[in-house]
Amino acid sequence: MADGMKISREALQTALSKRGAIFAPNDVGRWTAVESLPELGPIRPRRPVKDLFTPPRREIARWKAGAGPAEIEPAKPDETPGSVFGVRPCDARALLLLDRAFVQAPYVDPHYKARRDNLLLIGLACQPGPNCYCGVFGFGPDDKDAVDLMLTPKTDGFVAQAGSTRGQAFLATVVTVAVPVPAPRPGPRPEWWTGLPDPKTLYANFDHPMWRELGTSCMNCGVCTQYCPTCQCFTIDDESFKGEIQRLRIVDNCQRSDFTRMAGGHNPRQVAASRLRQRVLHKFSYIPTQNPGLVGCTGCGRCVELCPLDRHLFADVFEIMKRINQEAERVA
Amino acid sequence: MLRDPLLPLPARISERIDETADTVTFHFELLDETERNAFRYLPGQFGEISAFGEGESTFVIAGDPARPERLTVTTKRVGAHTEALHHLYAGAIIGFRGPYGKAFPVAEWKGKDIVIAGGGIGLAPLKPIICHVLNQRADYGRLTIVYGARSPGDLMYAADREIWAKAFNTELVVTVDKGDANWKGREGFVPAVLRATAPKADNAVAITCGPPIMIKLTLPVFKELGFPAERIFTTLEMKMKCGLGQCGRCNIGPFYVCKDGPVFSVAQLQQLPQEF
Amino acid sequence: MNQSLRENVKRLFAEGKVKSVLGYREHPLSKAVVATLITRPEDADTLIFDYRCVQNLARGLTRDLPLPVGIVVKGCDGRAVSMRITEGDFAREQIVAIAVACPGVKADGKTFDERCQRCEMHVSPLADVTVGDVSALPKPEKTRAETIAKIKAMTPAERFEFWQKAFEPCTHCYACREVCPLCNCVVCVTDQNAPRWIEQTAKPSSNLMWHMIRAFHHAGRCVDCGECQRACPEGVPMHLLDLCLAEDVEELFDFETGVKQGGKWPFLLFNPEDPDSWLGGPHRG
Repeated sequence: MADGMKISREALQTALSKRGAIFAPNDVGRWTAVESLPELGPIRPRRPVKDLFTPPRREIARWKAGAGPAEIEPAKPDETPGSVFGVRPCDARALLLLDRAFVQAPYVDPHYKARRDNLLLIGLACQPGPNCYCGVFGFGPDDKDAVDLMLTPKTDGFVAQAGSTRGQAFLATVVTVAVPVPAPRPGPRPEWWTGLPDPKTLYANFDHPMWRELGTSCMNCGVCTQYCPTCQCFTIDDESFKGEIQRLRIVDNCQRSDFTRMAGGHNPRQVAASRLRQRVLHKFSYIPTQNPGLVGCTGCGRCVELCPLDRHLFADVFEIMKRINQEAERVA
Repeated sequence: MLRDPLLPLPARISERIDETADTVTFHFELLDETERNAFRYLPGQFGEISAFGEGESTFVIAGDPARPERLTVTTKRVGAHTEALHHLYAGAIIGFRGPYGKAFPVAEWKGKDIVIAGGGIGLAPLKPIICHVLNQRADYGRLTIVYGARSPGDLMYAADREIWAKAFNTELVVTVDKGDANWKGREGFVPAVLRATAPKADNAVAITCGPPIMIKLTLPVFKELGFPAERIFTTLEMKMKCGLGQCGRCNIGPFYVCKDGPVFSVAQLQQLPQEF
Repeated sequence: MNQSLRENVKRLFAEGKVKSVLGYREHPLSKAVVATLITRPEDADTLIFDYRCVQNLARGLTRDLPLPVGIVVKGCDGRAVSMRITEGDFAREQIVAIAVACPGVKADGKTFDERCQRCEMHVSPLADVTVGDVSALPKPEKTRAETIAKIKAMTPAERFEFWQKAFEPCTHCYACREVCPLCNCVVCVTDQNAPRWIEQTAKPSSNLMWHMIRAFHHAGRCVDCGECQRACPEGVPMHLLDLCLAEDVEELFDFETGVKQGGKWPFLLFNPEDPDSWLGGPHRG
C-alpha cells in the first residue's frame, strides 16, 4: 500500500491561500476565484478546467484610443501564483494534450505557459457517474499523474497524494499525518466497449458512407466541442469599442458551418457530416498519429451528457469501428 | 520573457500597386530596424497580415527572397478584411507575422529545369521562385513560365514580366482566356498553352498555382508531358487563423496546411483525403 | 402506438408516397431516444413513439433528403413543418406529415414538460396520416399568459435587469439556433462579418444582442417547442422571451403560427394600420 498524507480542510485552505488566489468550480460549474474551498459534487463540473488556461476570450494586444497604429500594447501573461481546487483526472489529463499544442517549440503560448507554471493543480477523486469513461483511456478516478496533488475526500478532510515534485514540495509545507491508501480504482467504461479504434484504420476509411449516416442525426450545434476539455481550436478577431481596438484570441468550434469557409465562399467542410467526421478523426486518429500513445479524449462524458439530441459520440466511434471491422472480415 | 507568437509586428506600406480592378500588391517594411534586418524567408512561405481592427489574413510573401527587408503581398478583395486593406496606401501601418510554412524545396531543384504554370493571382506564390532562380541563375537550368489570366486587365506583375521576358535561358509565355481590342498576345487557357509550349519533363520540376479549375486541368497536362507526381508541386489555400499549427483549423487529415504545407507535391496530395 | 406507426410507414413506402422518413428510434447501445432517417421500409421496425420523443424532428428537414420525406410530428413539430412550407422552404407535396397523438413528452423522464402542460394543439394541424387515439388527449392545465405573467408584470427597468441576468451564462455556442426548426437562414446574421452586426464573444452586450435578435427573428414564427431551452447547456431561459413575443404577435396580429399552410405571415407583412405606439403614439397598456 502506498502512503497518503491526511490533511484537514482548514490546513489545506490556509496553505493554498498563502500561495495566492484559489480557483474552484462554482455552483453552476464555472471556474472562478473562491474565498474558501467549496463542497463539490461527485464528478467533474460542467466547464472543463481548461477555461483557466485557454479562456474563452483572451486579449492578444490592444491599441488605445488616440494612439498611433504602431503603438501595439501586448497583453501581459498572468504570472501570479495560485491554485486550482477540484480538478478531476479527466480534465487534468486533457491539459497534458493542450500542453502539446501550446507549449511546444518553436511557438509557445506565453499566457498558457504562465498559468501552467503558476497554478498548482489540486485534484479531487471522483465517484464516477453514468457518463464517465476514463477507464477507456487507461486511468481512473484517483489518477494523480496529471495533477500536483490528488485528494480523496474523507469525513474530516482529505487524504492527499503528490502527483508531481511541485506537489511533493507543497505537501512538505503543510503539517500532515501519513496514512496508508488503497490502490487506485480502475476507471469506468461502457459495458459494450471492446477497445479504442485504430487511428490508421479510421483514417483509411475517410470516405466511408457511414460518416454521412451518422451525420444525419447530428446537427453540428457544437455543444460537445464547446464543453470538451481537450478541444484546442481558436480564432483571432479584432473588436473595437469607442476607438479602442482589441485583438482577441477566442475559443472556436469546428462544428460551426463557417469554420473552414474562406473569404470568397469556398468551404471544404460545407457538408455537416464532414464536420462530425473531422471531430471524431481529430480526436481518435490525427492526435494519436501525431502524438503516439495519446488519444484526443479523456472520457469525461460531457459530449454525451450535453448533446441536445441525446446522441452518444462514444457509441458513434464504436459503431464506426465495428462496421469497418465487420466489412474487413467479410472481404478477408 | 517569451514573446507571444500571435503578436503582430507593425510594418509600413512603402508602395501600393493596383494590379487589376480587385487585386492590389503592397510592398512594406517592418518598422523595427532589428527585426527588419534579421528577417529572412524562403519561396512559398506566407505571413499573417492585418489591417488593425479588421482581423488578419493569410498571404504568401510574394517578393524577392534575396531582398528580405522588403516584403510583398498581393491581395485580392474578397471579404471584409481585404476590403479594409484595399483602403490603405503608402505610409499606412499594417501588422505582420511570419514567415510561416514549408517552402518550395528550391535547394533540391538545383541543376534542374524549372517549369511554372500560373493563373491569375496564382502567380503570387510562384513569383518568389522565379526571383530566386533568376538570382541564382547558374544553379538552375531552363526556366519556362506559362502565365495566363481571364483578360488582359487581369494580368499582374507587368514590370516583373518585362524582366522575365528578357532573362537568360528563360521562356515566358503569357496568355489570356479572351483578349480585347488592344490585345496582340496569345489567347488560350493555361493548360492548352502549356501543352503547346511542351516543356521537357526530363530533369525538370513543375510548379503550378491558380484557380482550382485551372489546377484541375493543368495537372493532367503535366502528367501527359511526362512529369511524375513527385516532381509536380503546388501550394494549397485553406482558411487559416494562427498560421503556426495551434488553432486547429487548416488541417487536411492529420496535416496542417500552415505547418506541413502550404507547399505540397502532387504525390503528397494524392495521399490526402480530398477535403480541400 | 409503435405497431401502428410502423405499419403506416411501411404502407407509405409501399405506395411510393415517401422516399425517406424522419422518425425516432432507441439507440441500441446508449438506449437513448434519437432521431433517425430511414430509407428502407424494413427499417420502419426501429421506429418508436412515446413520452421520450422530446426532440423536434422538423429541424432535420433539409433539402438534400430523398424527397418526398415523411416526418413523425407531434403538435408543436407539425406547426413548425407547416411554417417551413408556408415560408417556401418546402413544397407541400415534398412532405408527408405522420401526425401522432401526443399527450405530452417528459424530458426528465418523470413529469410532462412545462410546454406540454399548457399545450392546446396535441396533434399536428398538418397531417397526411394520423397515428394513435386523438380523442383521449389531455386538456391544458395552464396558459401561456400565466407562464409569462411574472415578466409582463415587471417594469421596463426590472425587465431589462431580468434579461441581462438571464443571458449572462450564454457562451454563444448557438445550440439554440441549430436545434430550432425555424432558424434556417443560409447565413445567420450573427455569422456575417461584412459588416459584423453582432459580436460573437460572451459579454453582456453581445449576449443581449444575440438573444434579442434571435427572438425578434422568431416573432410570429416560433411554435413553442421549447427545444432551444432544452438544448442550452447553460440553462439560459431564452424560450421565455420567445413566449412573450408570441403572446404579443397573437394579440396584435391575430395570428397563430403554423396552424394553416400558405398565405402571408406577420413577419413578412406590413400594413399601415399596424400598431406602432412605441413610435410616438399613445402608450398601450
